[in-house]
Amino acid sequence: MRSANAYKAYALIAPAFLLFLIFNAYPLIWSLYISFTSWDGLNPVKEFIGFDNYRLLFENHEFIVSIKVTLIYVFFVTILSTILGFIVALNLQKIKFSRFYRTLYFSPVVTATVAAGVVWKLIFDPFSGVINKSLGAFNVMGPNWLSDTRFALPAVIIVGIWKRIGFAMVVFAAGLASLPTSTYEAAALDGADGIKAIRFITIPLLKPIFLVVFITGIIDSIQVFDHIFIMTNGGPMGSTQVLSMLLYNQGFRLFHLGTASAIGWLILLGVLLLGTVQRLLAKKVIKNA
Amino acid sequence: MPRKIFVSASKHFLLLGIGFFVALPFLWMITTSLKPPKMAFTSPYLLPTHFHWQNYLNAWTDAPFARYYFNSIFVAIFITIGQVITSILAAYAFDRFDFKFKKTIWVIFLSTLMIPLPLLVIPTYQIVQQLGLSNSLGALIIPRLWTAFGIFLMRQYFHSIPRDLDDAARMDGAGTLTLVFRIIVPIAKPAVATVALFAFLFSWNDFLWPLIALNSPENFTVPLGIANFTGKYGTRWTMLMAATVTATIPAVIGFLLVQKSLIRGLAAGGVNE
Repeated sequence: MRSANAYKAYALIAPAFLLFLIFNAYPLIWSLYISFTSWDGLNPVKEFIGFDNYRLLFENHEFIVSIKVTLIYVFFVTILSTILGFIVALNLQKIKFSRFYRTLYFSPVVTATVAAGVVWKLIFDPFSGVINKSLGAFNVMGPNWLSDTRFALPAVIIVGIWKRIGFAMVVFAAGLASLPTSTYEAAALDGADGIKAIRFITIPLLKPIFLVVFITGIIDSIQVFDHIFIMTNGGPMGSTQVLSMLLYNQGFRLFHLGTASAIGWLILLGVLLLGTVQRLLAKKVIKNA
Repeated sequence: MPRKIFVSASKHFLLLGIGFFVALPFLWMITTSLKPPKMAFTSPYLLPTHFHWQNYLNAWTDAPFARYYFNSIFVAIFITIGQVITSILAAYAFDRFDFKFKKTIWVIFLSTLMIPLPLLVIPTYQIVQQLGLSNSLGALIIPRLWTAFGIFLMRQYFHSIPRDLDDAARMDGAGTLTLVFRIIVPIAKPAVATVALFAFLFSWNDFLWPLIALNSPENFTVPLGIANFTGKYGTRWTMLMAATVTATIPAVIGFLLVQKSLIRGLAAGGVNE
C-alpha cells in the first residue's frame, strides 16, 4: 500500500497536522524562544537575555514557594482521589443502586470547575459558610479557610479531590470489570476472600490501572488553575499560588511574558520527566505481572 | 446470611459517606438558590424548604446568561464537529495506510497530550492576534479543532472494523472519502459519539483560554459569565447560586444522560493507555 497511497494518507492527516503545526509546534518553539527574552508583549524588540529568566526564577522566593505549593497540591489530589476512586469502584461492584451512586460520583467531573469553585468558595466562607456553621453547632470555631495561609491550600485540595473521584472511579470500574472471575474463585477455595482477595489479588492485578490513574492525575493537577483562580486567586500570600497561577500573574497581569514562558516550559519539563518515569515504571509493572 | 447483610450495609454506608461529600455542593447550591435573600445565611442548608424562584429571574435579568449559553453552545458545536472530522480523517490514515514517518508523526501527535495548557496560552494569544481573531469566538474555536486524544480513540475503534469492508467498497469504485464517511463512520458511531462528547465537555468547561482570549462581555462563555457575575454580585448569595444552578445543572443533566458513552470513552482511554 506504500507509495501509491501514501499521498492519500498525508492528505487525510493534513488538517490535523496543519492545526498541530500552527497551534502546538509553533507555539512551543515560540514560547521557548520568548523564555530567553525579556519581552513585555508590546515592545517590537525582544531582547535576548539567555537563561536569565530561568536563573532568576530559581533565585525567586515566590517561585520556589509556587513549586512547593504545586507539588503539595498534585501529591494530595492525586493520591487521595485515586484511593477514594478505588474504594468507590470496589464497593460499587454487584450492589443495589450502583447506577445512582455512579451518577452521583460522576457529576463533579462534568460540572464546570469555575462554577464549582464559586460554590465551594461560599461553602468555605468563615462566617456564613455551611462548614463553619456546622462546626459552630458543635461549638468549634472553624478557621478562616480561604484567607488563612494554613487552610487555603487544604481547601482547594479538597475541591480538586472532589472533582476527580469520579474519573478515578470510572477507570477503576473498567479495570475491575476486565479481571477474570476464575482467579477469585480459585482464591476463594484457598480461603482468600474479602479484604484478603483485594489485598493479594485485586490490587496487584490492577497495578497498571493504578499507574494510569496516577499519571493522568499528575498531568491534570499540575496544570490546575480554574477553581484556584475563583476561590483564592493564588492567595493569601501566595499560599495557593500554583505554577499556572503564577504563570498567569506573570504573563497576563505583569506582562512578563519571558518569565511566564519560562514557567510554562518548566511545567512541561516536569510533565515530561514524569512521563519518562511512567514509561519506565510501566515496563517494570508489565514485566512483573 | 446476616453477614451478607452486614457487608452490603457497610458498603452502602461507605458509599453514602463519600457520596455526601460529593453531593454537598450540589445540594447546598440548589437550596441556597431557592431561599428568600434574607434567609441566605440561615438553615436549612441542604434541602430546600422555600421556593423563591424570583432569584432566578433576577439573575437572568441582571446578566445576559442566555447570551453566555448561546456563545458556549456555539463554540462547543464547532469544536465538536471540527474535532470529530479531523479525528476521523487522521485516524483512518493511521489505521489503514502505510506511509513514511507514520510512527514518528503518531508519537509526536500523542506527546501533544502532555503539553500543559498554561504553556500554550501565551503564544496562542499572539497567533490568534496575527490571524485577526482576537476577542472573537473564532479565537476559542480554531485552535481547538483537533486533538490527539480524538485520533487515538477513533483509531482504536477503526482497528476493530474488518478491512474486507474497505476492499468491497473500493471494488464498487468508492473513493477514500466516500468509503470513510459512508461505510466506516456509520459502523464507528460509538467512537464518534465518544469523541464528540469529550470535545463538547472540554469546550464547555474551558476557562483559562477564554479568560485570556476574550475581553468583551458579549462574547463570554458560561464559565466566564459566572466568574464575572461572582465578581459583581459576590455578596448576594441567593442570586449568585441561582445563576450558578442555571449555568451548570442543565449541562450536568445533559452529560449524565449520555454518561454511558462518556464513561466508556474515559475507561477506554484510561485502560488502554
